[in-house]
Amino acid sequence: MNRDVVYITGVGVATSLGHTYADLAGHLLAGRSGVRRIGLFPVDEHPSQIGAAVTTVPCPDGMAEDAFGRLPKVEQGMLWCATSALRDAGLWERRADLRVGIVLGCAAEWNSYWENDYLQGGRKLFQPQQHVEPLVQRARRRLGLTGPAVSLSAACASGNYALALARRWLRLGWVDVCLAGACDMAITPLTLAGFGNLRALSRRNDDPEGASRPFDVDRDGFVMGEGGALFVLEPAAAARRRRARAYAEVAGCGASSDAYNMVIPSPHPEPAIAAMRQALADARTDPDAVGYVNAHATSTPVGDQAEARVLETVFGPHIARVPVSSTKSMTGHLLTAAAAVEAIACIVALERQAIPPTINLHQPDPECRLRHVPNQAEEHPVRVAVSNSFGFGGSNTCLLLRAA
Amino acid sequence: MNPILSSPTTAPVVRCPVAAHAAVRATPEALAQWRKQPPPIAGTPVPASFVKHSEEQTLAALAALHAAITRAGWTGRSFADWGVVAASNFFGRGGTAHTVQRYAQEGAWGVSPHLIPHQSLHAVSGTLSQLLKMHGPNFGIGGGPEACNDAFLIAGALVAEGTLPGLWLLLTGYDRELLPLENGKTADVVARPALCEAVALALVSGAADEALALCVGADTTRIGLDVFRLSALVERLSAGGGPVAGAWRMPGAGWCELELVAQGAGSPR
Repeated sequence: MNRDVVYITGVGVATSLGHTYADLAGHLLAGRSGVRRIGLFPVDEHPSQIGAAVTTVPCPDGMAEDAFGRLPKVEQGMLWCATSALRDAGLWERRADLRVGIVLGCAAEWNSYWENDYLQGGRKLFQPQQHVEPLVQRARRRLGLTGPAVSLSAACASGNYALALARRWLRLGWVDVCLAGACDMAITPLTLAGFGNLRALSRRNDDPEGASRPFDVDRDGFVMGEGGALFVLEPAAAARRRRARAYAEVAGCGASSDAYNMVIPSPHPEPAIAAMRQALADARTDPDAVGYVNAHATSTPVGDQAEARVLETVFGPHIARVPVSSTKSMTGHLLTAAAAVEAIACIVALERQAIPPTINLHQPDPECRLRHVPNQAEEHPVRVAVSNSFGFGGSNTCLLLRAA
Repeated sequence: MNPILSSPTTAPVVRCPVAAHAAVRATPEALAQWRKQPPPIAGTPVPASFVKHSEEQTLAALAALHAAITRAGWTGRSFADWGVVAASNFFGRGGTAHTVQRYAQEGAWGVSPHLIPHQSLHAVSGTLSQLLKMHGPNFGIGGGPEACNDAFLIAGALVAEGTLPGLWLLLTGYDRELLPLENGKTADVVARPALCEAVALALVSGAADEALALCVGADTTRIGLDVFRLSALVERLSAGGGPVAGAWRMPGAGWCELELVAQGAGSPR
C-alpha cells in the first residue's frame, strides 16, 4: 500500500456549539460551554440531568424541510455534516463523477431507533426488520454517492478509526474521495440512565456549564454531548491539482487495545502509549514537534489521571512545554462522535495558531502534571496537533494532524 | 509477505490468506449453555461471570473463535499483537427490549449499568480482545441488517496495511432471528427454531500454509454475483469435505471472494 499524503479538504459539523466550522471554532476559542439542563425528555429521576444536546439540525439546501424533519436526529446530523463537508470541499456538484466513499462512526443507530420508537408507542423492537436500510446506505443513496459506504464503532474512539480507515481506502485506490467521521445523538433516556447508573456522569446538576471539568480536582464524571463531524479526505496531489483548501494532513494514526476491562481504563499505560507512538511513527514525527494535544480527558477521576501518565511517558521532558486541553469541557462527551469533533479542535489550533482551552479548570489535579490551557484560549505556534480518543471495550486511538 | 494488491489498473483487490476459520450455528439452548459454561479460549477457561451480561452474538462469536483456534491447533498460542473486528446484525436488540421495558416501568433506576458496555456494537470485539489479550485494534462493524456487508472492506484495508501479524474477523447474525417479546422473554416468530450464526476468520499478513484466501474489492458496480448472506458463508465453511469457494457482492460495500488454495502452495503471490 502506498503512503500517499492525504488531506482534509472539507469539514461538516453539528454540535451544541454550532453547525458550521466557523461557529464551532469561535465558540471553542471563546471558551463557551454547550452544556445545559436536558430538555429533550423528563430527567428529574435521572442521576445526571445535564448534557450538551443538539436540539435542532439545520436542513441542508436542496432537501425538503418537512421530510428532513421526520428523519431520526442522527440521520439529520449525518446528512447535514456530509453535505456541508462536500460543499466546503467544493465537491458537491462533482460528487456523482467521483467514487466518493463513506466511513461513518456510529454506535447506537439501532439501539436508539428501537428505543425512540418504543417510547413513542411503536413496536419495531419486537418485529423482524431484515429489509430496512442502514443509515450509512440510506445516506449514500440520498447523497447520490457511488463509492463504498460502511459504519463502525469503537465507542468513543470511533471517529479516529473512521479517519484512519478512510485514509487506507484512499491509499488502496478504492475511492477517489472519502467522507469520514462520526455522528452520535445519544442523549436518550436509556443512555443517560445507563451511563448514570454506571456512575460515569457528573451529578453537578445545579451547575451545568461548570460540570465538565477535565483535569480539575473537583471533577466528578463526564457530561454527555451530541453531534457529529464529517471530513472530506482526498489525496494531497488531487487536492493541489484543483487548488482546494487543505485544512490539514491526516499524517498519523495509531490504535491499540487494553485487553483489560470493558469499561475501566487499564492501570497499565503501555497500550495507550503504544497507540500514541504508532501515530507519531506513522507520521514520522518526534514528540517535540507536537504543538497541541487534544486530550481524551472526559472529566472522570480515573480516566484523566491515566491519560496524564500516558502523556508524561510519551512526551518525556517535553510534557512541560506541549499545551494540552480537553474540549469536552465545552462540548460535553460526544461518545462515538467525540474523536471526530475533537479533530476539528485540532484543525482550529492549526488554522488559528491558538489553543482551545479546558474550561472549568480552576485547580488542576496534582496527579495530572501537564501544561494545561485553563479557561482561556492561548496563542501558540502549532504545526502538528494530536488527538487522543479512548473507548469502552479497551480501545485506544491517536490521530496526528499536520499543517498542510 | 504482505497481502497482495492486484489489478492496479482497475479496481484494486486485497487478497490475504485465511490461516484459520470456523463457523457455528447455535440454537437458543446452545447459547444458554455457553452462557453457563463458556468454551475455553486458546486453552484458557472463561469464567461464566465474564459473559453473564453478554449479548447472544458475543457468545456465538466466542464459540466460533474457540472452534477456529482448536481446529488450527493454536491452543496456547499468543495473539498479543493481533487485532479483532466484529460485524453483528441487530446487535443489542434483546438487551434494549428488556431495558426499555424496565425503564418504562421503573424509570431511570431500572436501567442496568451493563447495557452500554455489553449491548453496544463494540461489545463483541472488546470482549474477545480482552479474552485473547489482543492489543491490536478492536472495533465493531455495522450493527444493523446485513452488517457483515461492511466487514470485508474494513478487514481487507486493515490487513493490507501490513502492520498487523493477524486480524480476527468475526461475523455474527441470525438465520432466523431470536426476537424479543414484550414480557422481556424471547421467542421465534416462525415455527422453526431461531439460529444464531457466527464465522471466525483468521486473516494473516505473513506467509501461511493456508488452504483458503479471502479476496476483497471495493467495486460497487460488479454484477453477476449473489448478494452476500452470512448463512451462505456458514454453509461454505461447514461443508463436509472442507470449505467451498464462493463469491458475493455486498450492495454499497464492494464484493468478496473465498478462494481455495492448493495445500502447500504457500502465501498467494
